[in-house]
Amino acid sequence: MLEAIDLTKRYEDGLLALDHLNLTVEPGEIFCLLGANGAGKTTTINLFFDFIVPTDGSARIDGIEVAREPLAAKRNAAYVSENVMLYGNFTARQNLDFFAQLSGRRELGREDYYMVLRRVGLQEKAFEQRVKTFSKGMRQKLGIAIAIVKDAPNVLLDEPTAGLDPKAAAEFMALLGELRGEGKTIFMSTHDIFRAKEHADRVGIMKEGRLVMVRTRRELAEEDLERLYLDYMEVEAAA
Amino acid sequence: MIWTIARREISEALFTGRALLLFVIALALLGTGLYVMDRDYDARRANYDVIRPDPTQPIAVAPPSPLSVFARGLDDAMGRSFEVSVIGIDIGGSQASANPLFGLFPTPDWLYLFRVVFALVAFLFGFDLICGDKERGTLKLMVSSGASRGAIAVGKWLGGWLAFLTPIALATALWLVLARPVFGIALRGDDWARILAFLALAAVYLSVCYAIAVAISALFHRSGTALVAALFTWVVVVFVIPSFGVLAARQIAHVRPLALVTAERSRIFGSEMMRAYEERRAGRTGPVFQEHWAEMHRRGEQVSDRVAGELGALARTSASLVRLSPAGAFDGLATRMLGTSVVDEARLKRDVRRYTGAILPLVFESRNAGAEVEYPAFTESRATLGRVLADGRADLAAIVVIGALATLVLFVALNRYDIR
Repeated sequence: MLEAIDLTKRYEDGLLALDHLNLTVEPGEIFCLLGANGAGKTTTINLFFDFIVPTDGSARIDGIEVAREPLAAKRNAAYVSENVMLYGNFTARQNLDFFAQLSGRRELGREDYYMVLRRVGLQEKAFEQRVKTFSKGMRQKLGIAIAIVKDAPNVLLDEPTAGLDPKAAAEFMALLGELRGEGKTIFMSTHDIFRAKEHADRVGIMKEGRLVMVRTRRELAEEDLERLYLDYMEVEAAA
Repeated sequence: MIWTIARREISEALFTGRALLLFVIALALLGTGLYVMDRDYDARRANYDVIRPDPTQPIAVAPPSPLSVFARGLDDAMGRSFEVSVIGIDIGGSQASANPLFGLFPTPDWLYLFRVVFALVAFLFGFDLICGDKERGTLKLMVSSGASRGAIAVGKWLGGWLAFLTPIALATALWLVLARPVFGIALRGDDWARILAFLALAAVYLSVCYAIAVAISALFHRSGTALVAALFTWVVVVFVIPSFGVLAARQIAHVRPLALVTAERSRIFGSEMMRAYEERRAGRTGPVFQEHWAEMHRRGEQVSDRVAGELGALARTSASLVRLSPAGAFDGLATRMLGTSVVDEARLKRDVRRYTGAILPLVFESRNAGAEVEYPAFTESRATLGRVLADGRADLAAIVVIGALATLVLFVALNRYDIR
């Protein structure tokens, strides 16, 4: 479970990137966070991984406050970035092995890694290929494979489908659906309104560091999410 | 976790061929340095054989040290001849080196290679260890995986250090084994102990350079900026601080000009000889001139003591300032270990003065009798390695402290590092 309690971040230059965010994402739920660039989506994820420290409030992963016990909190969360960057001179399997060991999964063998790589849809011939030859889609698949191998109950993804072709994005989202089925908590920032509506259990819209709207899948079935999103953007712009 | 991260760094160096390239470069440089310095040593040894005195000559001259092949230091100056006469010591010119270009360019001995060239390699290996990972985006993934920043710092440091030091160590070991069969460099047991101590010190020094470079990598977010900072630091550490330290010491510790010292000696000689002639003219009999020569020698020794004291103070001040840089401290202790340092040169001068005092009566005897006399052979004293290490603990401490400070900077900087 992910919790943001009055989570606030003001950078050294005075920019208020996140303004008292209060949010809970439950196990077995996909929460999609929409918003323009600079709205505070990535800042939220950065705070959950202790990449930056909050100015106020707290981020909690399974009840553990990240700022106080970052290592314990991060053991329960996996991270997939917009551009999964890996060690180019390592093969897919070697990258997977390296990050699995960092996550404390030392018992896994070559076949275990191959199984995960198959699951994320990477072609067999790519398993022992150096990652520097990989396309973005292949790297994103490897990124989610790293998250799967970590076997953390929470997965946070920062615009993971940006730049992916529709087929790769659909496969990626299907995989997230599977993880939800396993009871994982999925928190994803995205610009992709349509996939958010299709796959998310709840969708939030963020504007200038504030969470301005949250809708459930049921509510969204009767509303036009794109219209809602644009309305919120226009209202803010007019204000 | 630390070893996992370290292993990845080593693999990266192997995959990219950096380690192999460094091994080949180290092999070529160390071999070339050994070849050139061995030729130079042979030439100096040949010169020594020519000027080596026979027992009837009151000359003190020390043979070139075989360890000077590895660190020539002041060996050229120490190879000068010192001819003892009744009016003082006549110092011969420096033995001509086989390579006069050494006067214009640095001597390519192992000390130079470790102090300058491999130190640069250390900076080039370490400057992007942290910021490079940030630029690639892999640092974020490592931190999110659950690795603590401390473990990342230690693991990356350890792996990068092994990847950097192992090729150099292998190339060095290879040339040590080949030194005798290829170049005929024969070392005694004590020489081997000194060489191994020198190499251990070189490993510590290079580790400190590497630690500084890694600390720089955690202070910047772009590897381009870190590279500039690393190169600038290398220049300051290796060249600027040692050079400025020596120059500054000359401003702090006063040493009278050599011309004044020579003039004072001439004045002593003139006044004593004048007094001897006057006494002889006044009808005094006996060994008048011998007495005044002895007095001249005594007063000359006082001048020498004063000059030696001033030079000693200058050397100590220089050493204190120079060891602000690990390169300066390394140079100071390494040349001590190999017997070609400022301290060794000063010890040789003391030995020469002691020898002069011992044989001066024989010189008078020879002169008065007008016959040849056999003089005892000149022997130079040498500090034991244990003594060298004890005396050089300030240099060693300076290197270790600078390394510890660099490591501290790395940990503090990485803990505050903006990983976004």
